[in-house]
Amino acid sequence: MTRYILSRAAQALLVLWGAFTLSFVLLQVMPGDAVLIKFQDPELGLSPQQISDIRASYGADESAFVQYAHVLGRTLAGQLGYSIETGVPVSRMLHAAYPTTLRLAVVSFGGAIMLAASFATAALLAPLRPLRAALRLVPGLASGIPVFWLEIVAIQLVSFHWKLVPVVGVSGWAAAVLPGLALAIPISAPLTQVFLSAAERVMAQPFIDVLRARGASPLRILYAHVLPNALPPTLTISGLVFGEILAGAVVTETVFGLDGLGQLAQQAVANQDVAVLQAIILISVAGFVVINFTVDALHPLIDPRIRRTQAGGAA
Amino acid sequence: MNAASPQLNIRDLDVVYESRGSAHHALKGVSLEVRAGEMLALVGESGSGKSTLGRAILGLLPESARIQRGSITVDGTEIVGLPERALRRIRGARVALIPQDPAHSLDPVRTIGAQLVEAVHLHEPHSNTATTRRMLVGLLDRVGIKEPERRLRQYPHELSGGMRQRVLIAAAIAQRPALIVADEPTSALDVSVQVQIMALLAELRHEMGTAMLFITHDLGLASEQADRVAVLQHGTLCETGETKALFANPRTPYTRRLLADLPLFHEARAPRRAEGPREDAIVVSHLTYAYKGAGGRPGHKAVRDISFNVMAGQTHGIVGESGSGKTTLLRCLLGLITPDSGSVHILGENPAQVEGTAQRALRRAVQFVYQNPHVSFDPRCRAADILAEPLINAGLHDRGARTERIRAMLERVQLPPAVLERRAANMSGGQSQRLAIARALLCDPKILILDEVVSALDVSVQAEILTLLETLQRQLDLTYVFVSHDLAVVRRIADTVSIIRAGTQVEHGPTETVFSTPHDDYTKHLLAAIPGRDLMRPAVLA
Repeated sequence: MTRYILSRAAQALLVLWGAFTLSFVLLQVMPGDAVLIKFQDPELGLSPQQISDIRASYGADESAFVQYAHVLGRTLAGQLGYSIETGVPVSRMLHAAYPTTLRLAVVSFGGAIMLAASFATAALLAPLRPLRAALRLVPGLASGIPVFWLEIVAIQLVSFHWKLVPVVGVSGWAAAVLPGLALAIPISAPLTQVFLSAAERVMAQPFIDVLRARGASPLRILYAHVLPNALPPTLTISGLVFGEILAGAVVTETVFGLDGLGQLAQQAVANQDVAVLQAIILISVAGFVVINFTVDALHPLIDPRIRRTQAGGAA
Repeated sequence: MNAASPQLNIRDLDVVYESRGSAHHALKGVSLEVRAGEMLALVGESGSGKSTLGRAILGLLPESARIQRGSITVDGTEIVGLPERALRRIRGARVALIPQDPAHSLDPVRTIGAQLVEAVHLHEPHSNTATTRRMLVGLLDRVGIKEPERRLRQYPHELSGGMRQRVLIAAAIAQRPALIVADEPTSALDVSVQVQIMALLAELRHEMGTAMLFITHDLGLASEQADRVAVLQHGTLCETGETKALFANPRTPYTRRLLADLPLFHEARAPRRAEGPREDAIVVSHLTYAYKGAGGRPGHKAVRDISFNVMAGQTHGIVGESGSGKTTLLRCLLGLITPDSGSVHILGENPAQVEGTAQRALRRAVQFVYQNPHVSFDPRCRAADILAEPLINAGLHDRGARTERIRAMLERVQLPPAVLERRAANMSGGQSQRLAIARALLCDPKILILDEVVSALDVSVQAEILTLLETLQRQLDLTYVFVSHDLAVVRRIADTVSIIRAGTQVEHGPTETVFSTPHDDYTKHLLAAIPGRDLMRPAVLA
């Protein structure tokens, strides 16, 4: 088991390094850079000579390889550098922004799980076959709804029209409720789809009939037997869905005017603020790796048949 | 209920499956009864409606099925029209099910103990878990499971098939039901395990006075086990009677045909080919293969010192129960694995060593037909594509020539040309097995390796396929290796036979000799376990 965890940790480091390098290359390939964007403005009245001095002070004219070595070394030492746009340490910016996004992620992911669970229950246990077939189509449609549109409608209806949840002048968890729940809808769709198809495969198995023949109720069969059997593929998908939350955060924070990592990412892209952007990429990738590792670690807890294989593999 | 009244009473039952406006009558006017302590065997081929009847008794018909008419009373309670909630109190408590496939009839992610405790608590919600577990230990002990405490903590995949079926039986009898529906309870088990399970069911029936409806396709088994037999054909009960009387003197032509198709009733294959000895198509000598254990250590020896020769144009039967090493032996024959010691020669070549053109030629010359064609075909492929594939692989790109060969082959395996447009998933078991044979034959093989090819088929279809195989062998001068767990089938088709147990060849020789004068205890034991031996005319089996 220790060996398994070590090898997974090594893989994770490799993924982090790969993402870091790839993002560096992509940012290098883009024409122009943050220094030019900031100081080229004619109203600043800087001469070409002054601009190139500034560029030299940021190391912007060094060869790509030297810059890469510098940035990598700095990052390995735990230094995320300074924002070119504001001159503030990147770590301080991240520190200010992450709670908002974390709250958004928690609300939207939790909401998505509850939504998926209740919807799947309805779609599997509804009394009539045509009704079940119709419910089965809904997640596919839901995954096609554009997030920004859904969120604008949510603000208009829920907040302004029905006045259920305020979106202006709120902070902390209160501010995360409406955007989180709006984001939960498109995120719950793939979870529901994967769970439903896994659940249907499980329900076609003979042991389900045996349970019914013992007098178990449909609800009991669903929660005590179908759910644990259908969970592994759903877990795998929920790891991937994490990426959608991050992408959704960019749009959602913009629509709701929240100062989170998504907003920060969007500004950093607009300004080609390489240091900020790279830090956000690293954080996202790290989150992704941790979530997927957790998912893999949970599998053997759910399915006893995997425990044996894994023990054999680690021996 | 007094003892004389039947525990199960079915009167004039009509069940209809409805789909998109069309209706299929699965059961028509079925009436039968089973008394306490009695076993009624419900026999019939696939599609006869026997499983529908079993499900109707449990109130578990699929949504598309409707009971049009009739009544089912279990232990005095009318099942037809009973609301779901009331049915749930009856299921598992007064009528219990022993399912067909123990491998998939337990929840794979919950322990045996959790599942058995659940089975009890469904009907005794207030009972204490510790007390229930103590009761279950006794119950598992009663159904013949050793170390019951340990088994309760284990998961289904840690138990053998026979043991899982014992667990399922324990779950079924936990509430002392009045009626047990046993739906093909041993068809997925080895013959020797089958004997044990059937004996256990008989004991429990007599001990608890439970009525049992035994659903089976196996007439031999029914003849040995049941007090009475009911024969179902196309949803109609065509004959019911005391077992002995019914088998001694079947009244309807259908029952007579079912009995005639039993492989038991065929003469053993007579020694053939008077024209003298021919060269050996397959020579296996002192074959040994061990799977590698953890860390490359030598592991479990799957087969040990196996030797046999198969003369060209003859059939060699390989008989063994699950885990006997049959599959490993076949993998060696196909050259998929290299033996640790000993050798295999197919048509003079060593399949594990040939390379390049010779290897491709050998692979075409040795074709493999699987037990379950439904699994080995792409279900969405049309039969025409399935048959064209080996021809395309062989470089026959002319469409016209391909169609020509495919049509000729269909005629050989007696399939109508219309079948070409059908998809594999929509074919019957017999049709898809013919298709599998046709596909194998399109490679112009010299040798067919037939792995349990008739095991999943009804007796009448089984008889047809065996006859077809014999005809093809004569016409095309084929050599067969015929693997089966069914001794009666092997006795009918094989010239020579190997009996394999735990990787060792316990007996080997001409089929007739092995069957009439077995030397090894295991062979004797297997022969004794053939269900329905009593049905055999004394002259057939000495």
